[in-house]
Amino acid sequence: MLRVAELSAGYGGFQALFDASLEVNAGEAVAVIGPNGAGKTTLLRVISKLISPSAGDVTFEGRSLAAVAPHDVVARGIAHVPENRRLFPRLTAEENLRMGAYTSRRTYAERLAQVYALFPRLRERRHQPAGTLSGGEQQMCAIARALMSGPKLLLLDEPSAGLAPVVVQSIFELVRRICAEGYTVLIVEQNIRQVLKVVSRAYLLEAGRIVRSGSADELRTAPEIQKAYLGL
Amino acid sequence: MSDIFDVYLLEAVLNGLLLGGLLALLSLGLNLVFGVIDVVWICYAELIMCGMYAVYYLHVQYHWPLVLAMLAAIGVVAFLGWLLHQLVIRPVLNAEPINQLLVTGGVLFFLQAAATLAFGIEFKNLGVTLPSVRLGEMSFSAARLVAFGAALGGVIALWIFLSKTYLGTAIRAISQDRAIMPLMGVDPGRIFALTSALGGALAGLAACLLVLQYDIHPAIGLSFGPITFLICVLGGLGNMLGGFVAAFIFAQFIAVGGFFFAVEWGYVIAFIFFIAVMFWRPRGILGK
Amino acid sequence: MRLFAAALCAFALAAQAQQKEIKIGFIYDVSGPFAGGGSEPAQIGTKAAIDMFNEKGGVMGYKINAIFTDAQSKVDVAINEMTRLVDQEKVDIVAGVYSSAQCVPMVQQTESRKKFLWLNVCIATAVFKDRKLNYVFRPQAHSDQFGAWSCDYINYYAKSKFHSEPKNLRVAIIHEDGPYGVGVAAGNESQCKKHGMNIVLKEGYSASAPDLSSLVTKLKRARPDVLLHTGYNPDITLFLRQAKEQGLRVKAIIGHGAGHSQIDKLRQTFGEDVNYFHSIDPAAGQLLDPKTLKPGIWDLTQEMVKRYQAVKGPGELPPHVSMGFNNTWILLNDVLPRAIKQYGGFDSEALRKAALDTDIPVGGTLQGYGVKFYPPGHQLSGQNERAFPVVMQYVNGRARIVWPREVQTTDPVLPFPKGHSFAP
Ligand SMILES: Nc1ncnc2c1ncn2[C@@H]1O[C@H](COP(=O)(O)OP(=O)(O)OP(=O)(O)O)[C@@H](O)[C@H]1O
Ligand SMILES: [Mg+2]
Repeated sequence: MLRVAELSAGYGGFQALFDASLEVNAGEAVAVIGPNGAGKTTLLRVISKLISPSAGDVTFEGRSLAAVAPHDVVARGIAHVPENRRLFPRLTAEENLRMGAYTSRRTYAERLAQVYALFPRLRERRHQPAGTLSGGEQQMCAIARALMSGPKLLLLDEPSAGLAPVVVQSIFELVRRICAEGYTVLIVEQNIRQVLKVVSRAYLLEAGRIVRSGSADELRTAPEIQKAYLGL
Repeated sequence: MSDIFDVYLLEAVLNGLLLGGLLALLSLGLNLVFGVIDVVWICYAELIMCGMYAVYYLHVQYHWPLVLAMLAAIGVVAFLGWLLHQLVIRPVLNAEPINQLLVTGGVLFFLQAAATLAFGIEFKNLGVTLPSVRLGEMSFSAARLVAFGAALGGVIALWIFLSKTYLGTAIRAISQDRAIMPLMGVDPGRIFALTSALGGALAGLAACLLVLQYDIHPAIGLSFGPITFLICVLGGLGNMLGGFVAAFIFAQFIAVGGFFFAVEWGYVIAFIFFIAVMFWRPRGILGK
Repeated sequence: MRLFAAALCAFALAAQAQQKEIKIGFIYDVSGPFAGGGSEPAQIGTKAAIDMFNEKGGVMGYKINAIFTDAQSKVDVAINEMTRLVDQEKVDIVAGVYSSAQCVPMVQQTESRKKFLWLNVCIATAVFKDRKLNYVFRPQAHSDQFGAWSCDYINYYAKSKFHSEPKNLRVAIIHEDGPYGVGVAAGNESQCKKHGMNIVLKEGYSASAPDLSSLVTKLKRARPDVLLHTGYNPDITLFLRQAKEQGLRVKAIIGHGAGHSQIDKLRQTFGEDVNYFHSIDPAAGQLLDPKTLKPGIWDLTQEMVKRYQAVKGPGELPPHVSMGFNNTWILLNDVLPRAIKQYGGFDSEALRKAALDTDIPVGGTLQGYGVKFYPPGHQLSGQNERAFPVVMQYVNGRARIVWPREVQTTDPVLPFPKGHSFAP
């Protein structure tokens, strides 16, 4: 479904991503793991065209995204939950959801019902400015906002970052349910132990390069990952 | 007429209310543009001037019916707002605020000079006089009443647009996080252009009402630019409700202050109030 | 050695012959609100006078090189332009100047540079009063006279037209708050008080004020019979419009020059509502009775009208055209030739001496007044003591001179007739 081929990207003169390649098949949940500053966020930004690559290509459902304008990516079926959630703090929770449905207004009511079924807490808070929601609620709202466009592929950038341990649990529970509902998910995480329980495959990104890939089980048991990331 | 009830004071208060409506209308567009794009159109009152000339030429020279001329003028200023954004603001969107002020300030002088060249320095006016509305001993300007209604209507329409529509929500959202708008499927460039056109249209609407009461000349912006700017700052730049409230407060100071003391003092008191508020709440009455 | 001196002499003479021109820098406003308030017509009048002289070969063989600069209706710009004219253009004379707000600070600066300044238009008495000026001259009447004139006028007609003793007349004075308005209003107040009139309101306002409704409300409360008004253009239209909308009623409205003298403009806006309005200004030359003028002067008037209308098309000439034309004519026709002939040139000293010798009788200029400047030591030294303004009344768009009695061309219409928008 998504195919990233030898992608390089950077910021100004600084290169953050080197020849990264990966693939996500329909219905799959895939993780990209790696340390701080590895280039995980950069990878997602290139996929959703917030920044353009210096080399390489991204194809989605067999078509290249090279000529697609940033704001047309959503309509192609890719929704991106950005790092740090990035809700519109002075819009209410529901208005944030409405922004998520900007490109698919006809199905708004229907999707809103679906999303509220998935996140009952949001329905309670729907008239509250998003900036006043708790961290966990904000993350739910950010994910819900992405789901409002009815995406085929969901990009999640560190959904567990900055949340209390109990909340982290429930967020991963949610991610699991979303995967179970049949969404295709590409998730970036530093909480490797948790994320490997949710996804079927994963890539390890270090210093801008994909250095390893394999099934979740393979990676979990790989000695270097156990040593470097799982503290075993 | 009893001693306690001063009909003239009442007239001053009501005139203040009407003036407030006019000032509120003036502040709408400037606030909208600042709230969304984060750039102050120093040349806002000069756009209004262009609108006034448009009404004048279409109605007086080309004999269009007044309402049609006004609608066209709103369109013209909306276009000017769009053009201003595309040609002048866009290249400096990410520049220092001082540079943004300088370029829009440059446009101010450009428009003044261009108007002088194109239309001459002569004072022009529509020659339309609306009747006044009598209320016992009191008498009010119909043009002001219309402006008051337009301000109220404008603010309500804008509020509905901003809170109930996708586009309106996007306009509010973009000021809160410009960078992720593409993730929502929104093209920020289009929203900015649209907001600029909308701000221009509001300036055009203000022009249509001013032209009923004021002579048109290339320097007319000087009478309204500074006070509009003050009101926006007083209410909290970019905060439309704040601007609305501030306009009415400011107008009451001018009208009632001018009634009890000399007219000049009305303005002085209003400015003192402005300065006091700036010390007390530097971000304006309803600013965040 | 002798030969060398002669050669030097010849060289100097040749240089002078070549340069034979007099540089005059004129400061007017062709942008901003003053432009439409009369400054631009004054410039057109000035140009017409200069062209007329240059076409006849200049003044005593010197071509007049006039440099016009735009003060943009701003005080600081006017001062900067004056400095530029003096320091960079090296003009021999600075002249023109429409606004009293510009004149007041400017005289100080030209005086300290000992530069000859000839004021064409601005009228504030404060420009001269107690300033002990030596190099500044003004052929024009001054604002105290304007203010006094309107009170004398209504005082004269109190009984016959208003059917009232002067002391029972209720007078309101409103004015823009620059030196011009303040000066005229002060003249109004002291003269009307002298006649024992009841001054029910006196108030200033800023010419760029966006709203004057509370002033109108206060006027309604004060119920004046006569309204004395001094203002520029945008404020006069705003005031009249709001006055009409709010239903102000008075028996007469008397303006004092500037905006009130732009009757064509006022009629465009207000039509019949400004019928029977008055304005006080130095006479517009074309309105005078030719019989009251010295021989040959009326021809000048017609020349001025012709040249102005060639630029602006037909229509009533505002008095500012005459101020531009006539006062420039006095300088070029009288002062400059005397300076050159009797005082050997046109440096500031020569010009000053020549100006102080000026002695033109009443009827000797196209605005009717004569010229003799108050000498040094007088509290208004440099001001023309023979200048006087006239009260004009506009009837159906035509101006008629109704005061002073000596030059009156018709009997005034007082008070506003029944049915007039402002009539009680
Ligand atoms: N806007 C930017 N401008 C310049 N450099 C940037 C920018 N954003 C990221 N970088 C740099 O690019 C590299 C990769 O950053 P990126 O945000 O992709 O890492 P990450 O893997 O998401 O890290 P984290 O786990 O901390 O979120 C880092 O060295 C970072 O400093
Ligand atoms: Mg990151």
